[in-house]
Amino acid sequence: MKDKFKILYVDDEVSNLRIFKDSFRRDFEVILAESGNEALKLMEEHTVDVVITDQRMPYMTGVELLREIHERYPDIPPHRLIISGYSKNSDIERAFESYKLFKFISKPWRYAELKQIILDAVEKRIY
Amino acid sequence: MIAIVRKALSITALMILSLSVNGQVKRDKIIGQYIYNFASNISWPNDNSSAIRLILLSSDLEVIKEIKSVLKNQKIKGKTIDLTVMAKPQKSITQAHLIFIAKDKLAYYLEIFDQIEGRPILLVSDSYKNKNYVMLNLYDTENETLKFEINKHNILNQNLALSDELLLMGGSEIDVAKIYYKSQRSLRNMEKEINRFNNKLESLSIEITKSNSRVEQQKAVIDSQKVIQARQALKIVTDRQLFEQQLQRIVMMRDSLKASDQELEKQQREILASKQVLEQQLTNIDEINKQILLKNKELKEQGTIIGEQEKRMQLSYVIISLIILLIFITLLAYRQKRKQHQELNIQKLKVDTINEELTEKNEELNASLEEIKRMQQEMIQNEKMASLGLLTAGIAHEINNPINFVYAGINSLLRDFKDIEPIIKKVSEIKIDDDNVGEKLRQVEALKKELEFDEAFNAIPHIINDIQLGADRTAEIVKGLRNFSQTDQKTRMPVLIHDGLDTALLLLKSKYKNHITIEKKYGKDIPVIDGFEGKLNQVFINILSNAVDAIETKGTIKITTKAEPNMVTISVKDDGCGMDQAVIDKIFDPFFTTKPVGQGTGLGLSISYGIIQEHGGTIEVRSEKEEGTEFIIKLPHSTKHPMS
Repeated sequence: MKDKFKILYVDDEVSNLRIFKDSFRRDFEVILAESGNEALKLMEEHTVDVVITDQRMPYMTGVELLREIHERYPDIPPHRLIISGYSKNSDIERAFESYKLFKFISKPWRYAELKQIILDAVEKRIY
Repeated sequence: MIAIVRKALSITALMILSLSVNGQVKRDKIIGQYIYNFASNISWPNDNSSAIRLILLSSDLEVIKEIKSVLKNQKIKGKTIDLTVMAKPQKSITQAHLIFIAKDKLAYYLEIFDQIEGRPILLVSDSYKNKNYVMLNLYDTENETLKFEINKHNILNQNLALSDELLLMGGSEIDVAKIYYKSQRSLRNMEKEINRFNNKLESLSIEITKSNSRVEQQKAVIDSQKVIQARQALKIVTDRQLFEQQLQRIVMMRDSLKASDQELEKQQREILASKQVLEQQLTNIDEINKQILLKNKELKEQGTIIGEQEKRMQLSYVIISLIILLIFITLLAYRQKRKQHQELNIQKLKVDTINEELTEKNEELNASLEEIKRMQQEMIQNEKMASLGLLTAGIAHEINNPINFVYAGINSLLRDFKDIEPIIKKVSEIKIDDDNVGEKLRQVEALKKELEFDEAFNAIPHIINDIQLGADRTAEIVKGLRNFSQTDQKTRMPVLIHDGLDTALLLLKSKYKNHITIEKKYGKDIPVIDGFEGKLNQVFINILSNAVDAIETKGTIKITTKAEPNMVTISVKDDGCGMDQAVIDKIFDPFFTTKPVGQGTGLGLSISYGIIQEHGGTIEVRSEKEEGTEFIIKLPHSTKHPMS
């Protein structure tokens, strides 16, 4: 049985975290974080394959989290970072250019669509 | 033996001589004897010369003669005597054995002493006073005998040896120590004198410097006085020049005065002459006066005649002029009337044109008034749309999340259910009277593991909860929308203030979620307000939205409600950028906004102000630049049922 890919999902709404984990627990190993800081701490303990984060969070937005990740792990392979949120804005555009953002997904997301995006992101590593 | 006898003889001879006759001649002889004896009793060391060289320093012929006679054909220690006489010391004295300095040449003593120093030469002196420097010195005693004194030290210093018999001859030894002591004392005295002199010198020199400085001072004074003198001399010279100038002027004036004196005399003479002429003319005038009187009489008579004629003429003139005047007046009046007519016409025209312009302008004004009213309506509509737009944006944001819960939750629930479905089926197939219940149960267990039954089963209630949460939130938001869309209410209803505030917060949540903390301090027993719910909610959203906009990076908004006897007070306080007094004064003015073009209509607060007024309340603002802003709304309440 092959090892499942590790996904780190960051959102400030507990319900979102629960639903995400329940949706994808069969497909991936899901680690949850309620804030940007918690996410960074978890990344020190686990080697994560993909990071998906909500944009609109208090204390540290999704883009700010990506910037932190970029600074701490500058040689993270590209296409590993995904943001979900209500709408794109200039911050998110910048994240595409500067912080190796792979994709932006708008909420609400659909299970099948998000699964495919995650697989795309992960499998790019093998090539 | 013979030598001793000879010596004794000579000694006695000497003694006899000395005891017997006075007189300088004898004295000189004694001197000669002494010299002889001295030379005989002194030994010159290492002396290989064949003769004893004696030098006599004297210009006294008597002395020379006597000494020569004594020493004639004598021999000293078997050597012949080589006698030289000098008037002045010469270089050859350094070759002598013995030098005798007579009384008259004592001035040369020291000079010779220095010259012969260290040499084996004996100095014999006659009455030399300075015992320090004598070797063998002859001197006269009180009873006029000639004795001699010896300074052994000086003799020995010349490498000469004395024989003891020398003393027997009647000489006295000079006490060198005494001499030394004396000389030391005299030295000390001299030192003391020198010191005294030095002190005196010092005081004198001080005095000298003092008097020198005094001299300097006086010199300076003299110099300054010289300067003053010079200045004064200069002044005197200039004054003199001035005086001379003035003198000249005076002389000139005197001359001119003289000239004018002469003129005066001339004029006086002339006056006399003209006086005479005048007198002549006066007599002439008298004559003429008489003639004039005569002629006057004649004129009077003629005058009366003319007068009568004139009267008649005047009358006719007056009548004519009156007629002319009348004609003139009528002409003028006619002209004036014509003019006035013309002017009236012109003014009539002017008035007509002005009237036309006025009506035109009136129409224009009416048109622009209509336009303005229309635009105002438009802007109010825009404001409504803007706030509605705000609402919809807020709603969309907020609804997003709960809908996600429902949507994704349902999905998840489905799959969880699909996972547990086979197991439920399997279990339901088991009948009580089945044979291999145990086997079937084991199968069920295996299936459970395979499909991760526990995980799915445990997750289901949570998911259902989340879906429920999502649905509830969605309903809440829609309710809030309903509240806000009802801005055209016609009748007043009881309104709960806290509900309105919470709904406003909910709708704005996405705008402030990231960076602003909300502190709610809702009072207890806040009474119900009689009013239009939709309009009041519009006010709350407007004020809260402004507060959110005022905070740029991070901040806090405090919402406080309080119940007072007649009023409910609602305070919304932010720690954003604040406003200065100029902005505060205009904040409720319509179309006044601090936001850039396109971002604010400037109508929000003016409409809010109107709504609060409509409810009988007041709205105030307090603000400080860089500190923050507080809006205080006071609404009167109906004292029916206080509900929080």
